[in-house]
Amino acid sequence: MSSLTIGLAVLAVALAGTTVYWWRRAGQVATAMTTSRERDERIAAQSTASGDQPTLAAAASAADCPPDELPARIERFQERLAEQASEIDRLRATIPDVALQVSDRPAVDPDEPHVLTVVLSNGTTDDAQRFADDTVDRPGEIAFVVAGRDGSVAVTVGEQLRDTHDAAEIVAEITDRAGGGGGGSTRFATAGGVDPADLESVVEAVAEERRDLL
Amino acid sequence: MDAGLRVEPLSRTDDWRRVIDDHPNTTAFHTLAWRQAVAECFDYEPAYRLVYRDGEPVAALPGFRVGGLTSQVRVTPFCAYGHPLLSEAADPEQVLKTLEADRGGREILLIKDADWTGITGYSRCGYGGQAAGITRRLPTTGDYDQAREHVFDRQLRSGLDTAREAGFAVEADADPDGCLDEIYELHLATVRRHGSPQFPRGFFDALCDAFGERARLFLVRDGAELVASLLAFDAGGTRFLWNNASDGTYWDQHPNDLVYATAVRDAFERADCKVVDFGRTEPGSGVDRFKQKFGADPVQLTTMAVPPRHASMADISGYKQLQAITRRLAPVITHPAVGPRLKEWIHE
Repeated sequence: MSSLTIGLAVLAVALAGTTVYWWRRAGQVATAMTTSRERDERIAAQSTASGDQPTLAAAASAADCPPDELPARIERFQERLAEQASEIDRLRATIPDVALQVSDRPAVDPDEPHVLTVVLSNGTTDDAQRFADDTVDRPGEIAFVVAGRDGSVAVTVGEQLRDTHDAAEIVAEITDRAGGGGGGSTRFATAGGVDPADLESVVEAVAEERRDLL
Repeated sequence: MDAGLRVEPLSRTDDWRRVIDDHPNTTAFHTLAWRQAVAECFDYEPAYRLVYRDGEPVAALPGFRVGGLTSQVRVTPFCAYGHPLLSEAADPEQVLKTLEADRGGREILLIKDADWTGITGYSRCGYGGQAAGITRRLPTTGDYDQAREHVFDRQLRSGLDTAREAGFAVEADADPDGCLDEIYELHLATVRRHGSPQFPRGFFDALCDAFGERARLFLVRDGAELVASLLAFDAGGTRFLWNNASDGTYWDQHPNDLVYATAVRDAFERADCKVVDFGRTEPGSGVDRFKQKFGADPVQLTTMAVPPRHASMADISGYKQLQAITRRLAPVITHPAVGPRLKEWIHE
């Protein structure tokens, strides 16, 4: 083989090798720049999609949930707020009721035997029972606490009167006349399921009878 | 490039701290503790850079010069992150262009970044990118018990129950004194299993010394025997789970589930810890499937390179392809005279 042929062959190999090298290098650069550009676009899209990142993160942290659960969590918060607002309105409506009843009564010595009736016209069974949790501690008192909304009543008998009056028996008298059902102990009993329209009058009548027995 | 910006090698550590302290993107690998430990144990030249405007530091970029075959590479070794920390006043693109211009003629600059940092503009500044795996990050600002019930997957909860029934003893935030030898033995056993080179023994000491209280050790024992360990670093509100090791003979009792869950629980209980970062993995790998059980969101990691043609240096998928061979060569790769030197050369 002549030296010219060898020279040409070497040149051809070198040219091919150089071409391959530069072709690969261009490919590497193109791939790398594509990756870099895609990353920039991805982050820009994330920022746009989620708005103000720090604010979103802070809101999610305050709500104790991941950012993607924030809408559902906020909706639940709003529902609960609405429920509580409604409950507050209802309780507010009960307060003047009770205040008026108390102010209309003559002052009574709490240790002297007496009968107390309270009508919570907008009250629930829970409201009546909470009220009765206080009245049960008054030694000389028989208390009737009517929950007008639910048609229930809580009856308490003070410690001094437990030998002569039984809360469970009093509740039985109420349900015998007004329907529904109930039960309890000597000191604390409840009745429910009564037509609210009937309950108040029946309770007043039973209360009056107990007053006469004191 | 902004003529008002000037790059200087780190000489005033107070300036470095001014940038990184309280920065939302700070990681353990931006701290001077990390710099100290790596410089002490490896033959790398620290190449930390501060960018100044009008005498004020506006950006900080960590890095070491690691020797390549034909040129110098500036990168943050052995970690997932090396992104610049920018002050609010700094324009990211101007800073990136300034850092690029600061390179020596044949120096390759590799910046390990992640989608969560939000830094953009690399492509407009001539940086190429290479996908470098993913990490998974779990917010820890809520309640651990809620996370355990609603975020951890069922397989993990079952694994934790199994580990509890096995009667393992758990040490959260253990004192490194006296247990680093055991941890290193476990580290050796783990890397032999994977066929990858080990860190030098002194690196664990250097890290615990440099990080002090911010280095967190979590251990699981079967009696006196250490069966799983996890070394984590706390910085910038993030707990980075850096090194895990375990005894494979105990795997059916899930000690790794337990040691990770302990580190996560501890993070939930600390007010200054907002996120647990599970570290870099290859998506779809066995390790990633393990970390996925904790319900942490995946985040793409990308290494940015200039000149862009060198971005492929950051491609870690090649290691997976070599695993079949490296596992067979594990006794050689992890030989005390070979492993640490190989680790230094690979710097990953």
